[in-house]
Amino acid sequence: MEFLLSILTGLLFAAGVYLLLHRDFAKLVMGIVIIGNATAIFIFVAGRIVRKSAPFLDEQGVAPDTFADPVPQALILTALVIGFGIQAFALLLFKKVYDIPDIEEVDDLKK
Amino acid sequence: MLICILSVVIIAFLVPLLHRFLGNKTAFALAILPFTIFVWLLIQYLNNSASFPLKELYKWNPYFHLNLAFYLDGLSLLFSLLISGIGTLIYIYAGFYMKNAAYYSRFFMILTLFMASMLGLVLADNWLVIIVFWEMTSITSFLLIGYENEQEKARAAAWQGLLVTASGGLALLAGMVLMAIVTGEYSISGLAQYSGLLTEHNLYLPILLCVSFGAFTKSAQVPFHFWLPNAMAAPTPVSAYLHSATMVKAGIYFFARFSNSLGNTIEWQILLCTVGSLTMVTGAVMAFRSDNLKKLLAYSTISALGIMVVTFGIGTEAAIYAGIAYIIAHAFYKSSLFMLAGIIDKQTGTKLLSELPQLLYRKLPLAFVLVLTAAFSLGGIAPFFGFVGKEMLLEMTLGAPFYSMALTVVILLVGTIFVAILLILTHKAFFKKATDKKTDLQQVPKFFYLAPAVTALAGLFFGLFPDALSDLISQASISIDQELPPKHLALWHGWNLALLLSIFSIIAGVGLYYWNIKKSYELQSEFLKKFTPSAIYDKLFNGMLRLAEWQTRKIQTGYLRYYAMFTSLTILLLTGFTFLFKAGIRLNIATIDIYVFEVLLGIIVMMALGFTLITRSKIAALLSLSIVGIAISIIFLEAGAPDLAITFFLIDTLTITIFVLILHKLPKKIIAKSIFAKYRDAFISLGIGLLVTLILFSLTYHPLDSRLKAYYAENSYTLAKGKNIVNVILVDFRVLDTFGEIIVLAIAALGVFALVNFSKKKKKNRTL
Repeated sequence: MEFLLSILTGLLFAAGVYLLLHRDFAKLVMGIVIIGNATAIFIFVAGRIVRKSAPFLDEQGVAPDTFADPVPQALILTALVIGFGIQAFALLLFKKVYDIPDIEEVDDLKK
Repeated sequence: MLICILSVVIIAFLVPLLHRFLGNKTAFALAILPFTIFVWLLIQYLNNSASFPLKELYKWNPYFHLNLAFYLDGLSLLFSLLISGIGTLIYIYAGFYMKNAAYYSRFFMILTLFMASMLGLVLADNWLVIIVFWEMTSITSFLLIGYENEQEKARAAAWQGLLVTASGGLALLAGMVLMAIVTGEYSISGLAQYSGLLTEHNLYLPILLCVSFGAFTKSAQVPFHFWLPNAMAAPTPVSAYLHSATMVKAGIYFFARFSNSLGNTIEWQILLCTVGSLTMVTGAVMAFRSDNLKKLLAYSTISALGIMVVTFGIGTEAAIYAGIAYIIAHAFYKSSLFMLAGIIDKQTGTKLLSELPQLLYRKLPLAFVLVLTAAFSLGGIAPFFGFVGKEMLLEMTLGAPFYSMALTVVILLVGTIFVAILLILTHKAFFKKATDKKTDLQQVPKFFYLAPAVTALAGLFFGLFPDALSDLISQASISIDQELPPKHLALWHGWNLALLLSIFSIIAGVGLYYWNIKKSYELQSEFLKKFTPSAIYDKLFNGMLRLAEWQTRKIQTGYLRYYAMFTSLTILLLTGFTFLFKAGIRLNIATIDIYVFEVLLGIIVMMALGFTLITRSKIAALLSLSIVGIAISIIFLEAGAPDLAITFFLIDTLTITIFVLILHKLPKKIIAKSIFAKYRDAFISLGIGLLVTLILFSLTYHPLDSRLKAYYAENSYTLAKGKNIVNVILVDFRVLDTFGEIIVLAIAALGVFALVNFSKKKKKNRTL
């Protein structure tokens, strides 16, 4: 699964950067969203993947033989929540910018 | 010693206050400060010289080897005596010179700070502290040179001085760091015992080059000499101080200090003798051709500095004595001449030799006598101290172990030109027959002459009784080389080769003066002007500015997406380069396992992504983006991370919802990229994507052995009573991180709230 996810992460990054370079505000924000997601998967893959076995303990509090590494998961959870804060803020900021007359696209910011 | 330096620094900051009470007499009050230090040093010398070196150590940060270590031996004593002694006279002189200056207290404050940093530089033992003082002298001299800040020339000269000496400071720092790497020693006094290790080491040449580069820039050696004549833009007291006892002597001090740890190798001798010889000839010729009195003196300083560098380059017993004696001789006559040039400038209103009024010796008899006294020392005429110095120099070159002939010829040549300069300063300046300008002389107080008179007469006194300085010079020399026998200086050495050569140079100098008296002054050839170090400096400086301007124009375009593009490109190039050449691509084929379900998921993500990229409808782009999000959630679920899957699903939904909420306020169509931009951006983004994929391949090449994983599995139930390990980490083991996360989220929420409210208010205003 790491092989497949590595390729997927690369594609997500490529799409994110492509959108980040866009003149359109909406696509710019989508780029930020995608890059955030891609980074999460990057950390996830770097922490190695174990299929279908969540890091849960059984009734006696004993770990199963194989289970996914909980550390990257905890890190990503934190990152996702903070990422959401940034995305929400960026979205509203970009709506604010639209309220200014004459600004239609990213390049107009230079005015 | 720390108290000395500290008191000077503290008093420097009290200068504006003093100025309020004492007005224009502040300078004379301030003169007490260096005088006290001078007397203190003299007492140390007379009472404690047997127990030299005196050491002081204040621990500052021993972990970084950063200690306020001070060290008083013969050499630092000599330099600090010069700094404080001539400093005293400079204050008295400046008290008259700067009487009506616009920034009186500022000037004296910086001058005092400069003196403090110079004292620190020669007294400090720890090289980290030395670097600090070195940079302090660079900065304070920058402020002093640029004192007349309305003049563009002064500002440019100050810049030049700062850039040249600060780049030297960087080189010196590099050299010192290398020495510390080789020896592990952080005190200058301790370096001598590592002399063998240093000179044999592979890093010896880099160390030597770095340290000498620093000292060369400070001591204005060719090809870095150009900043010193330009520094003449400073007020005359500063020039006199900079040239005679401080700043430029710092480099000489370093050569003297390091000659027992880095010296006595072929490289050292060749480097110092070549650069020094070139400098002394260049300086002498340029001085001889100058019309501006201050410039003439500046170039002669460069020449004298060259002589000193050569003496420490030769490094024999005679050479060390000659070098130290010459430092003293030069300090006396140069400070005196500079101060006199300033007085003449004040009285006649010109610094140009060609514009001085006729028969000046009748109008300014006192100035004439003092110039004569000091200039005789410069020319090396008996019975002045300069003569003693010159004799010692000739003895040194005659006894030099290598290139004795060549060095003697160079010294003789420079000596000859110095005699001609002596005639320019006395005969040409004071006995001019006719001039087309009528000048009214300004009157100056008689005490204006006090400071130059003291140093000029000191030159005469020590010329007549050179033995009075024998012990001081011997002390200084012994701190360079402990095995040197004490030396006795004498005016009369008997009839020997050195004396004959000295007489020859005097005759030749007189001849040179009369032969050249009608020749023009400045450098004539336009072609050569382009290749002077000064012109090259200007070109480099302007080139740097233009490069910076061009680069800023290209990179800082003001368009957001170009900033994003340059950032992405930098990541691509730097990370890509490091990754490919330092790490290399690796792929563990054995671990590849492909499930059809996952491949299908991947295809869905790719299709949705592709549609997001190409569609021109915003709502369609958003919907396909949400497909990507849902697919990623399923991947997380599949890979044993249900918590991630739930959180991701929620957050993605929320983001899309907010997006949709504000979408109706935006134009529906998306502005398209141009064809060129499409290809360019595709190229950059695919590059980054490829790089990320390759990095992940290499990263997952080896299996990961995570001890943390085992630790959390074992302890999450026993310590935190939780069975979902991820949850336990978030709310228990790493709860502080979660707390930080909540704060970030709260701040973001506040920001969003502010943005929403702000726009509402604005609308209200509009409707009103």
